[in-house]
Amino acid sequence: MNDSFVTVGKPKRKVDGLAIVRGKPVYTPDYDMPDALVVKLLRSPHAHALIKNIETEHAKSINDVVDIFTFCDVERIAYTRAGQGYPEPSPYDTFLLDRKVRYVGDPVAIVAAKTEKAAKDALRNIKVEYEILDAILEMKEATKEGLPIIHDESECSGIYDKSRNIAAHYEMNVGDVEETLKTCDVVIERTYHIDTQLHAALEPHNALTYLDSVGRLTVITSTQVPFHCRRILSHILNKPIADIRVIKPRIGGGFGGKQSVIVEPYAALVTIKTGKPARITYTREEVSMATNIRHEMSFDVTVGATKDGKIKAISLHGVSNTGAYGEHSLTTFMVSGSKTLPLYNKVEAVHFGGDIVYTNLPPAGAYRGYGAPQGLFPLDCAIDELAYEIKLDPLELKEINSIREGETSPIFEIMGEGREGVPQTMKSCKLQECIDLGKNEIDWESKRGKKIRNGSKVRGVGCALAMQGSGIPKVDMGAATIKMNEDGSFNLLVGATDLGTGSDTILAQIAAEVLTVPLEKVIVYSSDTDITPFDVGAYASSTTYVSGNAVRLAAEKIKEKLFELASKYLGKGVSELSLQSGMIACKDGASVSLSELCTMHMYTFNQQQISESASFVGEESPPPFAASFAEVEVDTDTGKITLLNFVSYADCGVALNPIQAIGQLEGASMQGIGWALYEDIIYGKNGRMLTNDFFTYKVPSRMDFGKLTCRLVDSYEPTGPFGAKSIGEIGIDTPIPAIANAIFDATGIRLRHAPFKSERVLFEILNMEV
Amino acid sequence: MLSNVNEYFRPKTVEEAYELMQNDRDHSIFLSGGTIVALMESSRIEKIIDLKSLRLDTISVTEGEIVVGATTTIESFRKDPVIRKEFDDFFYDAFSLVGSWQIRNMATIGGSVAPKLGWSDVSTCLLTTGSSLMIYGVDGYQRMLVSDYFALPTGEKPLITHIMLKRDGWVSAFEKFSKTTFDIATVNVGLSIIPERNRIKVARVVCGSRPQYPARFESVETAMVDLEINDVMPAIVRSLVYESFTGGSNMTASFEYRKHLASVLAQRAAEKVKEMIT
Amino acid sequence: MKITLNVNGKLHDIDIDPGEYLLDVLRRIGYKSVRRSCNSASCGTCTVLLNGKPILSCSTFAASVDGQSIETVEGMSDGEKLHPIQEAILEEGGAQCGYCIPGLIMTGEALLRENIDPSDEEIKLALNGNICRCTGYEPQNRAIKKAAQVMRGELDE
Repeated sequence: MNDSFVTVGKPKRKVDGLAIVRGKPVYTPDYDMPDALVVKLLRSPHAHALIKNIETEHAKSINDVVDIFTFCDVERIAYTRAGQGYPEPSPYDTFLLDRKVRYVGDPVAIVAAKTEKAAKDALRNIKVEYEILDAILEMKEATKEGLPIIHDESECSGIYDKSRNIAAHYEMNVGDVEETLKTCDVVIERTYHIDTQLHAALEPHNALTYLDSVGRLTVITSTQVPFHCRRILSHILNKPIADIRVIKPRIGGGFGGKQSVIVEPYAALVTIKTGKPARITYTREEVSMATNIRHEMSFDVTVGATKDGKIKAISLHGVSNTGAYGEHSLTTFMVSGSKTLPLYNKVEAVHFGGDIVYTNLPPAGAYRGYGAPQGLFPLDCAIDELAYEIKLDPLELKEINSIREGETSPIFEIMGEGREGVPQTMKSCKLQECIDLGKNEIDWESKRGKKIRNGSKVRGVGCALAMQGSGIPKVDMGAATIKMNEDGSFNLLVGATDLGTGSDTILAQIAAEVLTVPLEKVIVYSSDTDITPFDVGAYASSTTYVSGNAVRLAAEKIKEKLFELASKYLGKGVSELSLQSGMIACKDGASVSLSELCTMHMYTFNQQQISESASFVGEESPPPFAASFAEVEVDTDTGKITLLNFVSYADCGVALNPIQAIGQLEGASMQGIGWALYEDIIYGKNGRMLTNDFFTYKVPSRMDFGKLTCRLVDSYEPTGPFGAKSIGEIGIDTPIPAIANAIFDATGIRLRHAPFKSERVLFEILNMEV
Repeated sequence: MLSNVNEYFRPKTVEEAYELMQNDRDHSIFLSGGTIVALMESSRIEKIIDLKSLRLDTISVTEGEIVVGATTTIESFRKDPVIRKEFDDFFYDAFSLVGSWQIRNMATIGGSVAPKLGWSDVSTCLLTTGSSLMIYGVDGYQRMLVSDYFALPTGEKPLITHIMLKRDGWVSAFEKFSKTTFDIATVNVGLSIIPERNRIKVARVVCGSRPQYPARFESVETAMVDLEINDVMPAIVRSLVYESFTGGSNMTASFEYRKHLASVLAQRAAEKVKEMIT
Repeated sequence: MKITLNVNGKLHDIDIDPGEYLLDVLRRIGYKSVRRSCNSASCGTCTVLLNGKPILSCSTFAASVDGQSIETVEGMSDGEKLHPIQEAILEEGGAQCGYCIPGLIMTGEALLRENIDPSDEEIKLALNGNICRCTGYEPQNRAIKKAAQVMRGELDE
């Protein structure tokens, strides 16, 4: 399939690569603004408290301190930090500053100073008197009676049940699970728990704000969602959208952590109140404890099957911890079901439901996978458990019950994100190929169940299957504008947000492919709300599919336009023309180069700017699929898990840029591996996050795994641009279940609480030996 | 930036450095490699006393022992040919996963011992090899064992100038357990013995990151004397350490887990030592 | 206080605060490739070479390196021509968000100056302190290996 393409499907170098390897100033912190005020936030040391009194006069008198703002100085406007389509399916439960603080780290005051030192001195000299309230630090406690209410304010909207601290609730049924279970030969009922995780993007959250020459607010920020950021700022600051410009430079990693509007309002407020440029940069500790983390979830899972391995009923009922605020609360929880349950589409009955609760812990938000890994852990491992119960190879059980090309699942129509979904039939699903190739690569048959021992160390293998989506259908919209220059080059303006994923590159490849020009002739610019067309931003695995389709449509419109203009210019019929290698040629031999055509139309003939725009909204969300395999070695003396090899094969349709696509799969896998084995978040008794730096929160280093083998299978998604679907998230779904299943294969121990800390593993082993 | 720092000293002599510290102990800090200072709460520090200007970064052999200047970096120490040869790569291997290459290029041997950190692999290894320190304090220069330095009252801020090492027939091994390869030890264990006619003549057993600072388990050392160096010896060492472990819990690991790890690491170190001898 | 730094062969006389870190000073005088991420000597993003050895500029006081020689990635390419490590990173897909890349390149360069033919294990050990959250490391490790081959003259660029 790829052979017919010239630019797409090829491992092109990143268009931003040169700047990156040369260390050019391309990220938000690299923008110099010498007179920018330093903005810092005073944060709550208490998990739940009321501010009785706050005294800032002394701090304001410190030399170089410009101003200090508290809740008394800001308009009380409820909003959600979630960077989602409008109206957002997240409760409006957040205020820029409030009389009440709801987690350790909640902002209490905004300091603006001329120097870093003055800002820090001011923080130490603000006197706050708190009335400490009881705090809820366990999500399973949150809905109990007699507990404090975290959000009791009347201005909030969209909260499911304030009195019981339930931010959102969801429930759906297909068929009757209870009745169907009665017809099953074997039923597995378990509880799985999965802890939270930090995004740990290397560039901290930061923004720079200033008023331009006509007094409009300009915000340069490291965001995945520039247009949502503009809209939310307009709401919080009570300023027309027309008066705000959001510029997104290169981003030093996001992973969902920059899909919420977090730092921008504080700097913007300072700029508006003082008229001066302002810069806010979170410390690593602030990024960890006061932006967003992943939703901790717990699921009661029930799977029923016949003794020959036909899965008939699945139930996932859970609770999700959204922390102090509810951004992305309902939608991440729904994705735990909507992007896992359709995998096992041959069931007769399905239940999915539960509560998303508030606690006095850091707010959870969007994070690569967006709930799918939390749902897949119980689902995949319960099926794995079931396989052992009926003495079947777990891979075979997963294989015979999973979805294939031409099939569908009722879940697609029932569950969307925050609302109903859309029905869809799989037009591309090469799950079987992923299974077959991965199985071979890991050497499944000869390794499974062998428990190969070397001293205290024993080996095992495990597998997991996964799916994701490609954007939110009928919600996510992306647009592209292409503008032609007289040398035959094109400016491609997109609102899509490259956060390191390589989307600028693949979007340029798409345009170059349609326009038959070399990649260098397409100059991409993303994203600036004053210049680029709208795009929801980089999330929900949407960019390749949604923004990519928009680029393809815009390029095709340009192509049509070029034929129309060339037809007049050459005096030939449109049907006689063809475009190849940047030349429009007629069957009779007449031709014109794109450069000549554009030059003529700019300066002398039929004068006009050649430019077109196009938008795209997905009618469906074709899932990518993956089969992953882990080989582990468990040290039964220490509980240490060593990952020897992790193999992942994915179907992402046509990989528009194979090296970048594999990079997404590798990176997501490594992030999942880190979560499975190393990345523990620990809170103190007062609810303070103790692991708020990289000294204590350990993401994997180079020597922390054996081998990572990620590959793509041949596939073609007819609704995608040049056959493509998404690849950004799916890799993070499988490591936890695959590793858990491998640990079971090695030791006979089922770990139902992730991450698999060595201490936890060792005591499980010791208990079993007793 | 340590925003309250207003003075930066580059003393020329040990005496001068010590005096500068005594002038304002609460607000001064000795700077060696800098990696520990980066982890510290910053507002208290007003004066930095840079010890690099003392040029204590050489390794020499004097009167049969190796004398290491305190500001020698961990990386140049572990790669030093004299150290590698004398200790059969004990330090070369043990320090290969101290921090990262960057950290080993910055952090110094003296700076690793001085703050009495619980998790320092350097301290555990120096205790394991029975090393001594030369310190400059209230009574001028004084030579003491690393363990005696750890027992000094916390208020005193003497200056470590040199570390003295001698092999003296000891065979040593080191084991570290940490969550990732770029992480401090959850527990580390060093073990040294002098063999005599296939028996243990004398032993040193050191455990660090308990989480308190590294300590020798003297009852284990006593019990190991005269043990035959054979296949069961490591298992005996394991149970001895398990019974005698003293330590505590913190967010990295519980007391119970540490006790278990320490005994397993001791067994593994004993296996290594046995291999080296036989 | 005043210090002098030799950065990529160019001398800078700079006024600094005594508590200022090298990272901030380098950024202030225009070396923006040197970036802050963890600020606790735990990620390697801010790596520069000090007298040829990789160190962390986030925890090195500028005053402590007065008069010494610093190298950053700005000094790595010879005009338009990229250094083999830079080439290999682009070729192998070793950069995604790119934030860790300058630090990675500097550590890799120091390794290859010491050892022009490193094994996979030696590469991993040398670069273990350079955290990357995007790539899963494999393409970066391959890039260093490939750059070494190019520098040994065994592989065309």
